Amino acid sequence: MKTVLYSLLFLCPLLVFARDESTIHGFVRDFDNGESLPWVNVLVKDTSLGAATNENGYYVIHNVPPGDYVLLFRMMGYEEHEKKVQLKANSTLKIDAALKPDIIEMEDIVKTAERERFEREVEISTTTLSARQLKTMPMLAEADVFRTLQLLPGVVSRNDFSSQLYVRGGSPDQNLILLDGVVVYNPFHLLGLFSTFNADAIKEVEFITGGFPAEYGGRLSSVLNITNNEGNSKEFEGSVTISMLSAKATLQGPIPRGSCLFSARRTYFDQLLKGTRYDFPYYFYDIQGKINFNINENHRLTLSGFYGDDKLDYDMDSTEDDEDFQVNIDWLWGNRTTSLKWRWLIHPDLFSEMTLTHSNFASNVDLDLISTNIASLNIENGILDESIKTDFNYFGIDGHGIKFGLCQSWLDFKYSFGIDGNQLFNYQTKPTLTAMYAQDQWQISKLLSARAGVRLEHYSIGQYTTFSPRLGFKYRLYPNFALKGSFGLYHQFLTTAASDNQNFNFIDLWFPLTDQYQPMHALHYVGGFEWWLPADIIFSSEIYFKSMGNLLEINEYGDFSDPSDDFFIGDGTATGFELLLKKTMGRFYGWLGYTFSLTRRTINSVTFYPKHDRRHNLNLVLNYDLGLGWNLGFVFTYGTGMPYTPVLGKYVRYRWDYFDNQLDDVIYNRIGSKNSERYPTYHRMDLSIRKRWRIWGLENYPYLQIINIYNRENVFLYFWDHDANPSKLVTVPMFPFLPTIGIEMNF
Amino acid sequence: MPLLSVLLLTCTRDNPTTPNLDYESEIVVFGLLLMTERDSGQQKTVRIERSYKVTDYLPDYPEDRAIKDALVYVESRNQRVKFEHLFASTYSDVEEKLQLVPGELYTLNITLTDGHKITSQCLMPDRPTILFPTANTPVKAYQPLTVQWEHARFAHRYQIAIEDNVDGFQFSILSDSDQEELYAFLFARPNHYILKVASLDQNYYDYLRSRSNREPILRIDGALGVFGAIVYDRERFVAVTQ
Repeated sequence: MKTVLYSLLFLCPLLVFARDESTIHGFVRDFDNGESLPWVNVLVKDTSLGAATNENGYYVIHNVPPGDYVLLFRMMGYEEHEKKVQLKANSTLKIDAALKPDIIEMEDIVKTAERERFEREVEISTTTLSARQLKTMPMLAEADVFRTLQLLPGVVSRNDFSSQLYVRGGSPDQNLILLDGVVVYNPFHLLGLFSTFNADAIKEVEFITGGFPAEYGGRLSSVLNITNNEGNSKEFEGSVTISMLSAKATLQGPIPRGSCLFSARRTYFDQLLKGTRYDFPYYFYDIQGKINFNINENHRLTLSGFYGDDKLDYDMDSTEDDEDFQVNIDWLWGNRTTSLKWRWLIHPDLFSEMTLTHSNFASNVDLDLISTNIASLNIENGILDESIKTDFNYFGIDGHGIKFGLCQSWLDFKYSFGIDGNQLFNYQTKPTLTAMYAQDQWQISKLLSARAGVRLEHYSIGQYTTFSPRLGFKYRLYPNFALKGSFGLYHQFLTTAASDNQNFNFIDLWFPLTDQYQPMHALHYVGGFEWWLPADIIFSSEIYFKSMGNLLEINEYGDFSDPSDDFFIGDGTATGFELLLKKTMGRFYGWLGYTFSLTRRTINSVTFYPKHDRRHNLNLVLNYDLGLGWNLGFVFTYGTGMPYTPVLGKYVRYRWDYFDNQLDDVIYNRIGSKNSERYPTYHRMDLSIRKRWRIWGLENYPYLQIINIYNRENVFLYFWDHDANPSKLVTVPMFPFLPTIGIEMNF
Repeated sequence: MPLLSVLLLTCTRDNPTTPNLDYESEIVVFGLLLMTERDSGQQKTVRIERSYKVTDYLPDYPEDRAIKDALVYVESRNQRVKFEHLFASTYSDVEEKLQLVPGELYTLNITLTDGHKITSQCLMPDRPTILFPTANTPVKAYQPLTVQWEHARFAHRYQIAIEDNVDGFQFSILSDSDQEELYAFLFARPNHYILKVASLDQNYYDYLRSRSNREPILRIDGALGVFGAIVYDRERFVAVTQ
């Protein structure tokens, strides 16, 4: 099978589908910055012929009789653009266009895109967020993609301290996170408090919470597809943002035959406090870049990269109990991703994208324990993913949008543990993952469209081959009302060493499945409707059922000498109902999302509600343009309590002390049924105020963000303090009232 | 809505765990059969106490937590010895009748006054005689040390414990091998050290793996706790500069 796949992978770009009809095709871009423009209507005037551009700004119009025509490019928010064309029989004409932004506000572009998606795409459980939506949302210190996604229906956040996403009952490791097509394995800074993605560099975020199409695979729950800006190909522009978390700068501009964008961010508290007695031992930074280079009108290369590190360098000096005791922690962890994409317009009906990707997460902890003795511990872990991927888009059959592709990934997982330079544990494994897919979006009739696809995956450890059919449909019952549904089978071959018992997860440790574990799988069933109400309000609702099998959870009691008991195996289900009332344009925009969900897992023969099972979740996100450059953002979140395992009793536990030759005793908790209690209801209100302010020709946006405006004490966890007798229940709260300020300057 | 109802029903047919807040006190047993270093004897102890609600006052003294009127027997193939209540929660083989023999299966039987029965079995492991280091062979300070011992029959796992005889620094690890490399930081100065290598039966090994906030691994019927066996060897050695 592999031979066939490799052959297809490398030979497919050479295939050309010959057609004889007269065809007009081309790319449409923004005149001002050169960014590709999706969802532009391209019409052949005085005929019924036309097409819309896809996500790459590409369009094709088939079966145009020979003659002289006027081609009309139309999109709300841009000036109409006309081009005269002369078409000969059996010819192909490439007509590119650049549209000038109109005086109409940006919101109209959003509206057009939303409407075009509604009318043309079979998109189920999909939300797109623009950079503008990310930036106007009240967030801790600065805009954060993951924190914004946590406010969407179907998504649950375990607590304020983590930006991890629990999607429709799934675990965070079941989310496929892509940055410009590269898989990112640990997309977090500050031990999960912030996501690694710099909002200033982001162009668009697409988030699919279920029923995702065949082009995506390897995860059970969701797909998060983040696309960075291509960079302005017309003129240089930039921005500088200073928040209470970090300082960041973005610069973009033209290069010969292309464009580029660079963005960098770094926290600065360590630098501010340097030399003072309040030494701050932590910082993170990230650098993102993208270079687009048009070789000629049919070939385009895009090189993009992300490099980010977190660094903790903490020295804990002697304590009152032990004057000689000292701990030095030197912990460096971070992501490196690089992708090189070659887009080739092979034929007006076929273009390919071949992508080479490199994604590396590495963590290295050096820990010196200095007491009467000195111990130097070193813990390293990392994952390297090198992939080659080819995707083809074929437009040659009217009413069909065919996409197919291949992907080969070489993975490398490493874990090592050493003391005083002696490596005590060293584990390395290098599985490969091969995938191919084909899918077709078929406009069956004017009202009914469907998207069908299959995905075939082969995983080298255990030689597992999986087949995953996917199906989605949309039926426009009325011009403004559509029914939609999807079904899909999904497989996953990697897992993280996570347990539902953990309250907090500093870093995800990824493991490939060994041959004793079957691939994890999930079945999604989704149904719902989308309804365009007056005043451009979109009302949508979905109901879902997800069953998951062969789920793995780390066995915390695992016998260190027995690799066969590292994980417990189990299954689970998630059912839910979501409502979304969304307004993406106008002075007043935002959404109201409600989710009812019920998640259940059975692991190691114990059935329980996992810690992220939140029965009711309501999010109200509002933005209001107050005029005169003022913008107000408001978020209210309400969620019923999440489960935890209560402590019911306590007892004294003895252990033999080999040196004192007596029994030691310590108080142990006697816990109740797993996750049988729930924390109090969670609610929080956040506010942001942002002002546009021109000074010295620069456009500035100073902002104030207030988290937890009424200082609600939401519970992070409980623990029992047995030093008190009777024992005392201690509550650890989440974020208190927390105001932050910042400023964004554009030039 | 009917569809929603159907979907919800499919998801809840198995009733997940239900809250159990009316916690009632349980019996906690710690039973240990211990063969200490060469020729220095055997210890046989059973402690029986009760657990408490987490909100209750926990008596500081075992005397106040103790269950004193239980019938306690430890049996093997040829022996049946009654353990007498000694003090506080402790029961013991006062007359030293019970002989601990490697390879022998021992059964603990406890009957409380209300008729409640507690039982468990453990297999007595053999002694892991330490081969290296010994008192006659000084080892190098600042260097890792490979401790070796003779394979002990019936041992489920080993526990290696080391103490710095001057500073009292202690360290222990578990092992499933007949040798284990100890880290250099344990011998960071020329000094006298005490090394103990213990054979553990499965019950005691699992007991060590249990954690405070997790469901305990129990190999005892009718109670919380353990009935386990440890047999250890001891060696004193010196680490010297090179």
